[in-house]
Amino acid sequence: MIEDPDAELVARAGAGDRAAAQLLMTRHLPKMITLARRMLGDPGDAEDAVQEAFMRLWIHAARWRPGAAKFETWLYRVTLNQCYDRLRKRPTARLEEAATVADPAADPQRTLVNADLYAAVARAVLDLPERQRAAILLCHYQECGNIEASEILGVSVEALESLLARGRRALRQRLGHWNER
Amino acid sequence: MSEEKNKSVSKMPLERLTEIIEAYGGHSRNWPESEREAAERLLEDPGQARLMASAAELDRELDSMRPIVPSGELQARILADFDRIALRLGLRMAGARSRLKNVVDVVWPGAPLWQPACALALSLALGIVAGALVRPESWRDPADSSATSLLDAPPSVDPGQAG
Repeated sequence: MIEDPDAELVARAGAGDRAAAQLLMTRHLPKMITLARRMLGDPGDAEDAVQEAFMRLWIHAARWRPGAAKFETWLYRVTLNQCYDRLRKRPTARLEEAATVADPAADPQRTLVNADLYAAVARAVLDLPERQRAAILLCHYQECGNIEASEILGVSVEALESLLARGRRALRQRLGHWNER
Repeated sequence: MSEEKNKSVSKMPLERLTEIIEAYGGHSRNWPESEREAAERLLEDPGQARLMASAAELDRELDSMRPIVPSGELQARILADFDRIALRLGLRMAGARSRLKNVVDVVWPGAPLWQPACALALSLALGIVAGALVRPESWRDPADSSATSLLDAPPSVDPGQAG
């Protein structure tokens, strides 16, 4: 059995401990909302996906048993599945609109070039096929190890590396003009 | 087939380093842990410099997107969901206990649950003991001659015709 830093908090939350639930949320919500926002683009959809993922957690917390997978791996997988569900239900045009939404964490003093770069990167990431996008987000932004990322996506490490390599190649082609500035 | 390509420090081929950089980028902290040291040693190869530079450039561009800060409203909604679910689960258990208490109050008003529970358990125990002590032949009531007469009657007598 692997060592899971969240196991005790999940058990306490499952027993109705609100403080434990709040700690779990504080610990994981920033990564979950960042992942959902990069996957979906739309802030409202991202918040809905993450809220639903935590709802699943509250419902199942009492039955959670530490085992072969870490709790965080499970939570990432649930969040990604919520994102996939929303992606399948929306028309393609909304992806392009979502890519133009400004970064809420942006520094007001950010230069126009950086703001354009942010928008270009966001659009390029959203243009990736879902599984390449998820692989890039998990490994580059969430800093998941290759084994953890492959478990979250339900693929082998070799398949993960293929997704990453193809995703990065596509991003380099889309962002290639930034090299000339 | 193993999930990880576990190669010793001195034996990683350059092609594998290329695969690692193309998949995971230029930050060695993102490289597979078991291969990191061997890969870093191969970076001394001048042929890898251009590949690393290209990967590092994409990494810088990807890093322009900073983490999202969750809103206070979202945090409040998530905790409100927790409160609602915890309350619902708690009420379900309290409801069953309260229904049982209502039945007990009809039979034994004002008593805590353990009192009628003990009374029931004691009755059951006495019944089992009594059943074990009673001799089998006393099950038959000697005064009930009509029942035994049917059993003792010769086969030619139709039990349905007996008085």
